[in-house]
Amino acid sequence: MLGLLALVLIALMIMLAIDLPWLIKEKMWRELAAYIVLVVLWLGLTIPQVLGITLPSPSSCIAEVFKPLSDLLKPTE
Amino acid sequence: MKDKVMISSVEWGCLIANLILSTGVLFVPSVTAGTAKQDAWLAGLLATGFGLGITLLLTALWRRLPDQNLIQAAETILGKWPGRLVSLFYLWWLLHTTAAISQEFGDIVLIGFLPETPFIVIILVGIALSAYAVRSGLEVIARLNLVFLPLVISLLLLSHLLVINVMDGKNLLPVGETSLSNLVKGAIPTTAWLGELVVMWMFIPCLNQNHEVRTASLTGILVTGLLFVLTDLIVVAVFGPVQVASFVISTLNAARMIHIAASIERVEAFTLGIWVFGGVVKISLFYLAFVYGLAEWLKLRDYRPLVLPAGGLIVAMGMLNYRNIVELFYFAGKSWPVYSLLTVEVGLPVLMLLVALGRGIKAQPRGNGSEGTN
Repeated sequence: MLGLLALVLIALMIMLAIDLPWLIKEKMWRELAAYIVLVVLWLGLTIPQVLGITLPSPSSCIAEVFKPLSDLLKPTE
Repeated sequence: MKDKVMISSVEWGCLIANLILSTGVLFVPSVTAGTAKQDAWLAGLLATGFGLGITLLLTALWRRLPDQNLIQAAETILGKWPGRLVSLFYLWWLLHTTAAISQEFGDIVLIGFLPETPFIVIILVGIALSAYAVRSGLEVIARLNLVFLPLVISLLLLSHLLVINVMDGKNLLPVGETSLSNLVKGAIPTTAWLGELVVMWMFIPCLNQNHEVRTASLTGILVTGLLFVLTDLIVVAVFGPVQVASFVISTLNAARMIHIAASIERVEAFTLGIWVFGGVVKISLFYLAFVYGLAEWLKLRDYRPLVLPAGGLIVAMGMLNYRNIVELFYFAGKSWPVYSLLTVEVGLPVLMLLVALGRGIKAQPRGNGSEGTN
C-alpha cells in the first residue's frame, strides 16, 4: 500500500514538473485552473483505491441501468 | 482553442478503420456468434449495413457544419445551454469509454500474455505511450496510424490465412437458419463498434479535404465491417458457433490453433501485435478526443495541459471499471452497445439532425474546391 502511495506521489511530482513551469511562464491561468481541478479529481479517484476503499464502478452502474434493454439482446428460439 | 492541425482524407479513413478494428476484431466473433450462431457472418453483413447508415447520418451533420467540432456544433444546433449539456454528456462518454478500452487493453495483455505482471504496470505503460502520442497531436497520431494500420491488417489476414487447414466448412452450415430477429440482435454489438466513428466528430475541422468526408468515412466503415465479417466467418469455421460463443477472445484462440509443419507455431504474438498496435492508436484517439473536447468546452487556448491529469483519471477509472473479465465481456458485448447506440451514436445525432433540419442549417462548402451539395 505504501509502495502504491509512493508511486502516486512520484506520478504527481512528474506531472507537476512537466506542466507547471510552462503554464506559469505563459500566464495560462484558465488552463492552470482546469489543470488543478483535473489533478484533484484524479487524486480523489486514486487515493481511496490505494487505501483499499472500493468505489462504485461507472460501468457496473451503466450495466445495471441498461440491463432491461441488454436482456432484449438475448437470442430467442 | 486555435489549432492549425490538418489531416488528409486518406489519413481520416485509415484512422476510422484502426479506431474500430483494433478492439472490435478480438471481441466481435464471440459476441456475434452467441446470438446469431453459425450465421454470425450474416449478422456481420447486416451490422456493416447499419454502420453505413450511421455514417450517412453523421456525415449529414458534418457536412452542415464542416468548421465545427462536436462541442461547437452541439452549441450551434441546439443553442448555448442545451448544447453544452449534450456535449458534457459526450465528454463523459469519451472519458468512460477511454477508461473501459484501456482496461480491456490491460486485461487482454494480462490474461493472454503476461499473467504474472501486475495490472497497473500494463495499463500505465499503455496510457503513458498514448499520453505521449496525444501531446504530440492529431497529425502525429494520423501518421503513426499510416504505419500501424497496414501492420494490423496484414497480421490479421495472415493469422486468418494460417488457420485455413483447421477450418471446417460444415461449421458454417446450415446457412440462414437463424431468425431475422436473432440476426438483428447479433448485429447490434458490431453496429455499436462501427458507431464509434462518432469520436471523429471532434476532429472534423482538422480534415483538409472536407468535401471528401462522406467518401472517406464510408470507405473506412465498409473496410472495417467487411474485415469483421471475414473474422466472424473464419473463427466460426475453425471452432463452430457453440465453442466460439464460450470464448472471450476467440480471435486469440484461433491464432493458437496455428500449427504448420511443426515450424510455424505459437504465433499468437500476431494477435498481440494487432492488439498493441491497434489498441494504442485507438486509446490515443479516444483520449485525444476527450482532452480536445474538454479544452473546447472550457474554452481553453491549448489542450496540452489537460493531457497528463486526464491520463491519470483514465488509469484511475480503468482500475475500478470491472471486477473480472466476465463482467468486462458482459459490459462490452451487451451493456455498452445499447448504451452507446441509444445515446451518443444514434440517439443524439438524430435529434441534432432533426433540429438542424428544422432550423434550416444547410450543407455548406468550405475551403477550396469543395462542392458542398448534399
